[in-house]
Amino acid sequence: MKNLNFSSVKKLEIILSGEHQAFATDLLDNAGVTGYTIINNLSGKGRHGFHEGHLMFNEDDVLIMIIAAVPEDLAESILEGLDPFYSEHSGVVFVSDIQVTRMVKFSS
Amino acid sequence: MSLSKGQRLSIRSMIYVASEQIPFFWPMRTFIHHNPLHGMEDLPFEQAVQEGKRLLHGRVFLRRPIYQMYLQQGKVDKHNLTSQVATYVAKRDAIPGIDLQQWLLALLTQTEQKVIFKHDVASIEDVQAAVNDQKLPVDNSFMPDKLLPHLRHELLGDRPVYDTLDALYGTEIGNELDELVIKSCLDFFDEGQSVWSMPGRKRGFFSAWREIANRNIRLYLRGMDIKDILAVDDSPEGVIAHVMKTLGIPEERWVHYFTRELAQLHGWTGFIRWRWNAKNYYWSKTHPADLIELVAIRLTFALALLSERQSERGRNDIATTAPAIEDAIENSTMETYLRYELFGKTILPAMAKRVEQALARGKASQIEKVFYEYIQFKRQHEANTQADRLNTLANRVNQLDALQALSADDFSHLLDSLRMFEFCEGMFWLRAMEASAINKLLAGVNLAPPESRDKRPFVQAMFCIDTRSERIRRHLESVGDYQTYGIAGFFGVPMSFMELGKGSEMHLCPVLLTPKNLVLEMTVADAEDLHAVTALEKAVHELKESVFGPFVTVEAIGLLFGFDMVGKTLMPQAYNRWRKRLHKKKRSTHFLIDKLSREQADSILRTVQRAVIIMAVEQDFALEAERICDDMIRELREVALGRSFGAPTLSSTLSLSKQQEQEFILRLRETYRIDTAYTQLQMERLGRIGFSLDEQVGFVSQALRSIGLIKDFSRFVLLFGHGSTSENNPYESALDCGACGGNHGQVSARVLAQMANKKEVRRKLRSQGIDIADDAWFVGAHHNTTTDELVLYDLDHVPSTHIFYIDRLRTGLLAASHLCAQERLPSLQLKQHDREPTAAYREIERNAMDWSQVRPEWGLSRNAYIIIGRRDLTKDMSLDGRAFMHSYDYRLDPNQRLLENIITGPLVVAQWINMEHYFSTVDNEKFGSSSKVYHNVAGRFGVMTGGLSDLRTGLPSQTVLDKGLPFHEPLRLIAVIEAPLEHARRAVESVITVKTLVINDWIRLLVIDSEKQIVYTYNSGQWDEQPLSDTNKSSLVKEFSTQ
Repeated sequence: MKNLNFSSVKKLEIILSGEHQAFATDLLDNAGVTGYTIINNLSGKGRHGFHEGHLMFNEDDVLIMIIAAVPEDLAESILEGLDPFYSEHSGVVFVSDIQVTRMVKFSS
Repeated sequence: MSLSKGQRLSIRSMIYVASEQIPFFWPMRTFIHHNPLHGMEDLPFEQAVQEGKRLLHGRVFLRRPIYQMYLQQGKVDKHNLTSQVATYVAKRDAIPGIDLQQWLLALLTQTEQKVIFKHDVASIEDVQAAVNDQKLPVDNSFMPDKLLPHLRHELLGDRPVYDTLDALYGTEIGNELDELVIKSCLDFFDEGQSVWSMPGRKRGFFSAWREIANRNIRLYLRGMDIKDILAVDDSPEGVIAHVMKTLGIPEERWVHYFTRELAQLHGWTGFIRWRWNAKNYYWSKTHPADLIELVAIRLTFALALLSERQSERGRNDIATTAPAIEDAIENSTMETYLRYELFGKTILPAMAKRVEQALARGKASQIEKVFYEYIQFKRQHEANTQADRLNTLANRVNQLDALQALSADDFSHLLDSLRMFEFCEGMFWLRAMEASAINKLLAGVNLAPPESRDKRPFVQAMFCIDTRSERIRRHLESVGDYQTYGIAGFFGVPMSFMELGKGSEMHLCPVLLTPKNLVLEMTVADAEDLHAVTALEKAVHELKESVFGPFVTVEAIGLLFGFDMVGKTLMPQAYNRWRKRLHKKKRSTHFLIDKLSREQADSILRTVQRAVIIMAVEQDFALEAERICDDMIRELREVALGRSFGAPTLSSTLSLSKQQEQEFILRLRETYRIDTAYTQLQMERLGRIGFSLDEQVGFVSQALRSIGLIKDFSRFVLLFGHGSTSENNPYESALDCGACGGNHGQVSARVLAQMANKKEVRRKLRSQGIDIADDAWFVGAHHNTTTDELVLYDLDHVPSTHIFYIDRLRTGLLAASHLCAQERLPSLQLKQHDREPTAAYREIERNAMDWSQVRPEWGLSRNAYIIIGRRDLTKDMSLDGRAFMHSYDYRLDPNQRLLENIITGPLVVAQWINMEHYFSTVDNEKFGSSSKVYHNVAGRFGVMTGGLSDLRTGLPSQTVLDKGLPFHEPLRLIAVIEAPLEHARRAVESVITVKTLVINDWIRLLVIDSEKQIVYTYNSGQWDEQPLSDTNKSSLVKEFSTQ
């Protein structure tokens, strides 16, 4: 097997209400994040009660998660940028250390 | 100014949060009703309206005399009003000799003016002295320091610095600033209305504006140093940070400060906010803009105007930063106070001249002298005015002696009680009006179990939940054996629709959804013009002739394959001729609702790519059509898609060098988009067309279950979409179907009918327990809400067995239209008040075509209720076109999923509509858009009053007011769910938005358990239970009729 070259990056899992999706992706685009994955219709429990993920008529009402892998310094900038948002809204950001093989995919 | 990336992102985030209190503004082509205080729905209604009042400077309740008029007319529940007053009184300390209940009722019902007069200078003792007709107590101890809290509150906080300056120096920066910002917006956001087009718009709002502002001689000559401000940083975030720091606003106050700035022109802000969010909107893709750019532009102008005013006056002592204002308040309190009185326009006229002169001279000693005189004068004025009002009220209740005899403490308590009461008064009236509307509804509900029938109804007809459906449904039911149902007007099928002859998609679903499926409108294939000359025409022709012909329309090809790009760039004239021919008379159409198979999609793609390659060869090498052979095309396609190397036939035909061949292949890939990635994208786009069989079954099943119709289907099942027709009306879309994204609803109706008529769909439905009789036929139809005409579509597909019944059906529909017109005619105040149904109908038809008619129909005005339950519940009463109605049978919904969907969609939309009408009525100038007569269309997406104003949001006065008085009666939406309490409660609990709306009192929720005959009303955190027996109903009716 070929030797793989691992690089460390941060994984951000940004959970927020679907109505703010455009805001969050705009922020990531502005930060220079090159790609992200969006998971819609999350179910789960938080401080506001249980969120159902099956609503058909109202996409703004469901929770979504945006996953992005970014270099460490960028992760800090993004967290600083999200701070004013999360002081007004529910939701969380999980930050974790991960490793990727093709670093070129994750830096702008 | 260099900002770190984190700081820049943080500013973006702050502005996003700051803007959330400003409602979206959709382009008027698809008018969407919206609660203007939507951003405050996480606050209780009572608090939110106060916040809205502060931020948007609008009135949030009707004026007292109008409520008093409603009371006279029996629209306010007197009993409820009295008991609310009693509850209020019980919470206050008793005041000897004063019958507070009597005072407050007299205040509410007999006094037009506010009783409390705002007094900043006069003390309670002063007012009491004036009440007793005594001289004011001698007070030599008045210290200017007393005014500090008042001045700080008024002039600092989140008030924009220029606004404070205007209030202290009469500088009128605010108006000029708004004008400059509006002009910049009009230039940038124009959607083809203006002859001149702002250069550089593709690069974005700030960048295009900056380019012009930097070179704007007019601004330069006026001494505005925009250039210096802009030189500080290239990014809008950098400019914002620079201005905020220069103004001395501490960072923790930025969000609130931004909100105030954004609220100044909330129409424009709402539009840009919407556009920022609507990534697929054509104009936001081509000319991007966001609120960060708007704030940067606004702040730049503001700072430039501030320095201009400072230098214009030749004095540096005017305060142009927040710390300087703070300093002026602290150290020149007297001058600042007098300035604020004078330029804030609260000065007492008798002393205005003297104050003005003293301020103009600027001598400290004189200012001090005038200050004390003014304070004394104002003190007397405030005390007298307040005393007069108190005395008048006391006289009304015959308690003047008691008032005069009060101790200082009791007097103060009384004033306090009155002040608090007037502050809460709006809520008292509102709740009492709602109580009246609730009683009226409950008195009419029918709880009897449904009667069993021995035969199915002649027709079952579904209408949109829209309030205008209530009338037509009632009349239709009255003319024969018609059973009607209410359902969201897009029938639960979110789709994107491409109309024949139009090259763009329309979203036919509530704005809360993004449709995933595309439906194409098609004509039955015509004989084509065989003298077609262009490659495009050949492609279309070939597709039509092939077995896949019926599946594809030219518009779809154009959009899916970017022909618009190719056509417009390469051969505009031929292209336009070709397009024009497509727009010829519209024929009878049907819809492509099925998914394409892989082979069909491949074949369509191949044909179109071939056509594009032929066009490219003709274009690039001027090769005659006869010399272009199939082999050549196949080779080129293969090589462009990377499946082979070289195109020998083309090269030999034209004797091309290897390099020329490679260059052409590259062009095919890059200019004509024949490459693998684009092919993949095109396949994805084709994949959006239509619905799979399972999806169709799912949509039909969901629609039928959600309204409780799963058996005993009639011979005809009519699905009515709705829309309005009026001439010369930018608000026409506001009268169309909200559930269809502000479009007409008949397409959705026809699509669901087409699905439900399919044998395969019915077969699968049967296995799910929905048994649609073989002879039941679904027909798409249209309800024109302006004329009440009911039109059936696709009758050419109706089985021959049904044709005998069509005449009876049409007669019934026509009769219902006539009766409905007759009921509506008086409210339209047309010249002829002919009450005979046929004549009324003709008059209403004429009215719809009158282009000078500012009010073609009353639309959703007077909406008050949403009823989610069986039709039988309200069948026996007229709801006067005031209720949204969604049919629902809880017995078919054991796990509340259907109910959850109804409350997240239709209920939420009804609440938006309700609140938009509420606020547009209570303050039409601020929350509504005032009179249509003065409207000018702005940039093709909105309207302004006069030539230059904020974008007018909300509803025009013609929609909600009648001769200056409210036609719409502003109430919060009264939502009724027919279900056992636990069932309804569980559904509400699981939908957080709706739960918040209920808990925060934005809607009044009632749950009717018809089996137990009990109504549960949600009241301040608890469920009040009330039996709905006949005796109770009669007492409610009695209550109502004694008003």
